Amino acid sequence: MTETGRGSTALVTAVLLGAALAPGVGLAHGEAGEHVEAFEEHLDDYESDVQALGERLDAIVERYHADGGGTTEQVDEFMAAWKEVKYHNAVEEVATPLYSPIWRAITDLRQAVESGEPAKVVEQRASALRATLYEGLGGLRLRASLDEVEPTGHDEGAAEADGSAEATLQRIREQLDEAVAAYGSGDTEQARSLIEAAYFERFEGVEGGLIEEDPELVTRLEEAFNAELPGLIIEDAPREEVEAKVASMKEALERSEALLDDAGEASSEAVF
Amino acid sequence: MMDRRTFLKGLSALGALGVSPAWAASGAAEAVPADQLPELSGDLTVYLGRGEGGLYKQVVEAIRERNPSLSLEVRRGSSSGLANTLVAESEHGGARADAFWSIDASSLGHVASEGLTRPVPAALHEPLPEAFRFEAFAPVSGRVRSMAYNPERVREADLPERIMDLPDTDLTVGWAPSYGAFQSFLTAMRLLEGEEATRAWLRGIQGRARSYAGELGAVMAAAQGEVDLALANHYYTLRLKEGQPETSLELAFTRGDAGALVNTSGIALLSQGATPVDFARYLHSGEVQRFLAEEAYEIPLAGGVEPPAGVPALARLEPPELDLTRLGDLQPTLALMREAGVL
Repeated sequence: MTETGRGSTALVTAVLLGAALAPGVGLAHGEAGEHVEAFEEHLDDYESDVQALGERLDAIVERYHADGGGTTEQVDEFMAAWKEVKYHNAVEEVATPLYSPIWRAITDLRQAVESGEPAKVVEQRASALRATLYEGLGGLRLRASLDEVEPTGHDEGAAEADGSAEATLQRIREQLDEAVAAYGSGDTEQARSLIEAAYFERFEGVEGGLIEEDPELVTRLEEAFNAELPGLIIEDAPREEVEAKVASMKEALERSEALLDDAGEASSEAVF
Repeated sequence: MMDRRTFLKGLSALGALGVSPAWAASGAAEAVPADQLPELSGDLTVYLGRGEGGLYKQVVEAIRERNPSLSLEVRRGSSSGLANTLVAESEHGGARADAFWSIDASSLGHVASEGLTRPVPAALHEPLPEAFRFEAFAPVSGRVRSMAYNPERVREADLPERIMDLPDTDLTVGWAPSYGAFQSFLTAMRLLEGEEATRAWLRGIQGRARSYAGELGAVMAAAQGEVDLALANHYYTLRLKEGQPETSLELAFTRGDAGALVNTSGIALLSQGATPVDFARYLHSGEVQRFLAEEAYEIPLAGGVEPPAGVPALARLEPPELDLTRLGDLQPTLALMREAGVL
């Protein structure tokens, strides 16, 4: 992780880190256009893409309301359009962590339409999808702003891709920063989602070795991730309280990193 | 009672025990050493569910190093996230992975339910016990639900043989309802015993249950006497005792029901050809099976590999017969939990 990525620029760094989170895999849908190489010069194009996709979503919802139901044809057309726009490749390669959530939101919308859910549900799913599209756009903008300071690199992503506990714990701390930022902007759902992902998708992967070193530390973090921090968010606690809780969690995570480092990771064992 | 639960009475004594239920060992071929497996070559894309502190990734990298002619691409992420991505990519006609190694059966089931998997061939069935020969994916390693208890406070004889009998005892219970492992256990109960019985079980036990934020917390509560037993995956107890050998804590297992559910990691084959199959055979090799057991306390499932001391041997467990891909059917379980006020 670079020094530039620490502290107040954690959210930006998270996107930078995420930029290389497609470890060693090529683009899922073929080669990116040249625009991706200079994505910071195409932000307006990407915004236009997102707006156009948003209009398609509006049309899906309107028709669903009007017809009292709908078919998946429009959603399929939306997916085809999403595949074709420049924005698609840019998110996939430059802001990779924000790519899968878009697909998930598309799938959720399609399932709602396919199963004939009430129009309100379809509207909610479309709204959620629109939000993920704009998150992707935000990620590209953040990444571009960081690149003005520091050239793009893929070392950070490679670090997490190697599965090391150090890189994973670093990413968890950044996700907590992202959660605070989301909470500060009023997006409590996103904040809780980030906390949940940090715990279940990352911390659970490194807790095994830590249990052997300091089980009380692990249980304190379990409480913090699964009860205390979500509790503050549900209660709409002042941002300062949320920040204080996150600060204490990050201290515990740094302690975790030191313990695992001292213990030596299991990865030193040979498989064959 | 002693006979049924001889697995972990003393962690070091495990290797001496020899109960082998017929269902467990039946027909499983011996694990093939890696040096007897075909060399991998060509292109292969594997989607790899994140888990176990990067140990799966380490296995994949070891396979890569061992097969220099293999052009291996790996995409990591959460198992559920990758399953969703695979489904979305498929619907879109986009590029797909050749194989998906996931930490849990439910995400594999999700991919299979969308018709994305090819049937598991005999070469991958042969090293597995018959109970783990699924069409949709090949299990790699397992984890078992358990009752962790402090033998200084609770007699083994007071523990129920059947999980459905737990509400009839006066034992207090620690659990972590927000955990996926607990929800899978309860899903298994619902599938095996029915919705009404599961609802009654939850209601019967709830007054004596204490919720924890995680399963380690529940296990530690059992060790410290806050509760009589914890319902948790087996490895928390083993990890805890590894770090704190003086901890008074033992594992017990129910018989043939959801309380002894063995959930698995597994690999689903997504494209045709020999390379994905041969890649999966490496995961069934004795070396990989032993590595996962020694480093992650996972239960070896292939080739009759004996686990290290402390890790329950599959042959000594009696999990229920259940198609694990059905564990992805979670929504009715969550509804039951909410109805009972557990979530």
